[in-house]
Amino acid sequence: MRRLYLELKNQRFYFFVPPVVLFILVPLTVLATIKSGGGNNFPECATISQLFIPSFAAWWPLFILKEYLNSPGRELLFVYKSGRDSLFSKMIILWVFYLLHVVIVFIYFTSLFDFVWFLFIAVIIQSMFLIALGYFLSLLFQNTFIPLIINFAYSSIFMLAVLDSPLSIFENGFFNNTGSLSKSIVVAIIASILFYGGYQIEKRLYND
Amino acid sequence: MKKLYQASLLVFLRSKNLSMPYFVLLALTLAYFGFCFNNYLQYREIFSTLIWLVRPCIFFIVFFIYLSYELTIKMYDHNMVEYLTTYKHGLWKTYAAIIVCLLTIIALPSIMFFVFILFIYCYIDVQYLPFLIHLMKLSVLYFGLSFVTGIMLGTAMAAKLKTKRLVVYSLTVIFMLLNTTFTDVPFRVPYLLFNSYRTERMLYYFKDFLTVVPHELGNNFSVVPIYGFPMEPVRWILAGFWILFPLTLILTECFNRKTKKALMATSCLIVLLGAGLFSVRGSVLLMDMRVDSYPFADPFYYQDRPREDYSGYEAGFMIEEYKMDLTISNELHAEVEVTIDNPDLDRYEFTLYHGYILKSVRTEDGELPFTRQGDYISIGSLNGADRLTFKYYGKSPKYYANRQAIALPGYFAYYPKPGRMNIWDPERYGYVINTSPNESIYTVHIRSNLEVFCNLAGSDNSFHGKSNGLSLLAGMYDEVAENIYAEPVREDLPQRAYIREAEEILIDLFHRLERPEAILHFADKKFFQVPRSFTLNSNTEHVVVMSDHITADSCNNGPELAKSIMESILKPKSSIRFMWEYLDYLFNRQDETDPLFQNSVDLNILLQEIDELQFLAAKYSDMDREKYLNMNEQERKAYNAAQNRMLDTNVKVDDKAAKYLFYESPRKEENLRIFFDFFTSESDEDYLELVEKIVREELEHDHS
Repeated sequence: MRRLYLELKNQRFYFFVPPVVLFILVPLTVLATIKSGGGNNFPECATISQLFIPSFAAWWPLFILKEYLNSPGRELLFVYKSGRDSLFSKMIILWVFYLLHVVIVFIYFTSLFDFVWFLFIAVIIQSMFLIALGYFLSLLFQNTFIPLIINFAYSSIFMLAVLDSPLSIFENGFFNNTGSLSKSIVVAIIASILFYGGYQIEKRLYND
Repeated sequence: MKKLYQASLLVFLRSKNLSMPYFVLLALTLAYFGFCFNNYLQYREIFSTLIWLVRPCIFFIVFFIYLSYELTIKMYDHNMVEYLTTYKHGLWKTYAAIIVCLLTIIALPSIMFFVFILFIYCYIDVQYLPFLIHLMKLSVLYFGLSFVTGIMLGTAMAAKLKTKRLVVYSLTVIFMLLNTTFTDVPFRVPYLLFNSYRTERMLYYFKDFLTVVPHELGNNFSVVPIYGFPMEPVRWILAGFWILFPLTLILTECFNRKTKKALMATSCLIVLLGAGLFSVRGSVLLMDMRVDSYPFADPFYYQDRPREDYSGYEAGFMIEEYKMDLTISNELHAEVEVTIDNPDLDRYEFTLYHGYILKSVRTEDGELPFTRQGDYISIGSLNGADRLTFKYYGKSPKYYANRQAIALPGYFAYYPKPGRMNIWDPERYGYVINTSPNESIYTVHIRSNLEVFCNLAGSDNSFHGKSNGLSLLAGMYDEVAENIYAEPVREDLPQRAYIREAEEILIDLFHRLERPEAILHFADKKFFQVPRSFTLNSNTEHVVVMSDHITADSCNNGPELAKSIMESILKPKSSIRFMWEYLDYLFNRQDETDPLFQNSVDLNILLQEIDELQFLAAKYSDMDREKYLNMNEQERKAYNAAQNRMLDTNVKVDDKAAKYLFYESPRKEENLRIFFDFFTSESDEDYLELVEKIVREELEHDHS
């Protein structure tokens, strides 16, 4: 954990990008949407949450993976690596860490909307998917730039241009019942497969 | 140099994390072409297909940033730079070889896009040269120069930031997001939460400067066929800037001392020049969510200002003659001389859209003082002169005039019109049709790189004639049939037969309404099809009939055109919905499958609902924002419930009243006539009062 702490600390200014997005950008845009519209603004706010929150979930993981894949002398990072200290476990911890931040945002949302927890579940699963995708692609390409581009490209395409594609992990609707999480289970399964695939590549590359 | 180039190409091909994604991208591009072509076969909408083609453009650019950065950074990862500097111009030659190698890499997808666009053009068989030229420009700007921008930015980041990957990643993400509509919502925060329109403008100013794909991902507005994709001169200037500026940054790394300083100075100069040219970009078609954009600029502008109604305003003079000297470059520059019929007034008022900056007003004796208040110009006595010359320049977000296209309809105040006229009607949510009360003589000279089409006779952009409004259109626009002007790329081209049919329908209708004096003859007038997007933010511009020409957003068939013309004649008063229903019944277009047609209307219930509606309207007649904010929670709930109830009841009353009066009533023909007179009169009477009066009369008649 100390190593992860140092890796996050090493990001300096860039560490604060996801918190700024979560604690400043998202609440402000949601408030602006509420102010601009009349009636029930929850669907618009669900769109905003899905646009901003999952796409920045892979920020910390990819910036940490950069140290392992693209930094000079990266081999040294694996010298003192214990069995538990895998990149995969780091990804999971970082997802949980991000999830804790998202919880705070959603606690704030409860003061604005009646019921937000189905949206919360959808968003954290989407975040997990994008972290898993970033992890898998980073190890596959041995590079963190391409996964970063793919992460934002994916979010932009499916949230801005092709909203109803079956390839999208994002959901439309009111998020007021379990039916609104129709894609989430599949997304969670695919995320698990990506984590598994990434872990197999990681084992082959660094543990053998 | 050649060896260096070959070596760079080999390094690229041997690096699996570069070459593999590149070849995957090429394969995906081919598959994407298949998707786009299928989209065309399905919808037969060329601009929709081209929008699909342009959508992933930013990802290609970002991918080329990745390729160029990763290829160039190898020099720094392997500490080659010091070694290369030991040769004469070693580093410079290496950078040159890398850039040429990268140009080779991007050439392949660029050519693929170019060939595909050419194929699509041949396939659709439009055979319209300006459209072909437009497509060629599209290929060069969107799939050529923008890709070069990508490699220059990637190489420059490698040269300047070296292995600081976090900075490179962050800048790339910011660049990518700024080239999509990702920013739409956050950029509206300053305006919506803090009412800071200026901050929003600054944010978009910054975004526009970084935009290398003018039709960005996520933009759901369709492309206007007369205009095509945004490719104004400023877009080319920006493309040039984003190639030259990174190039000078790269060069500063290759040279020492004096040359380095000179290059730094050059890059500063390029920044200044780029920003300077960008700031005077003039009329640019902005189709997005910003307050300044085409769909929102005018509605927002007029919504924020107190409304004064000038519908009955008497100017006290008329303009007999206009002499116009117009230069259309990046925006409209005009010198307009007007001859007025009454030079003895103490005060003259003119209307000129607020986007045009008035520089001077003069007579033969010299300049005159004037005051400008929004759309209005006030001038004192003319001291006997009957000719005034206005000199102004500027733009409108909707009625553009630049090097790419011109869309200036005669009913819009882009030249001074006599008296005070409203430009925007918030009740109808549309532009007020401001044609002159009289026919004036126009002599117009236009300097433009485009062939301008005008309602007056003339050629070579010089026109002369008499009309009550001067319409100018240019761009991908042509005379598609005799005296019919339209965008040749559009599928729905107007035909004279449709216009004649519409006239016949209306003549029959006016006879049926016993109002022969209202008959319009327009079948032989010049017909100008205006962009369909004119009605995007306006309910009043479907059809405008002027003294010598018609403008219409479409003309698919006679009945549709006749209905639109009738709609343009009627004034909707307090309910647009009821007027639309009236038109449906007038043209026998009612939907008889609607559940409303299963039973006849109960007139007593209808009267009760009208009473309820009038009671609710009266109860909250003096409601304003301040009062609403001062209400307690309970009062607000009651108010919101009453509003919802009013909304529902209003819809019901409109439906039932229209059905009864114009469909069921034994006096339906008379009712149609009464409401025609009502909708064409200046009366302020509420339509519900008239409905109630007629219904009560009919009930009494039935009882007796």
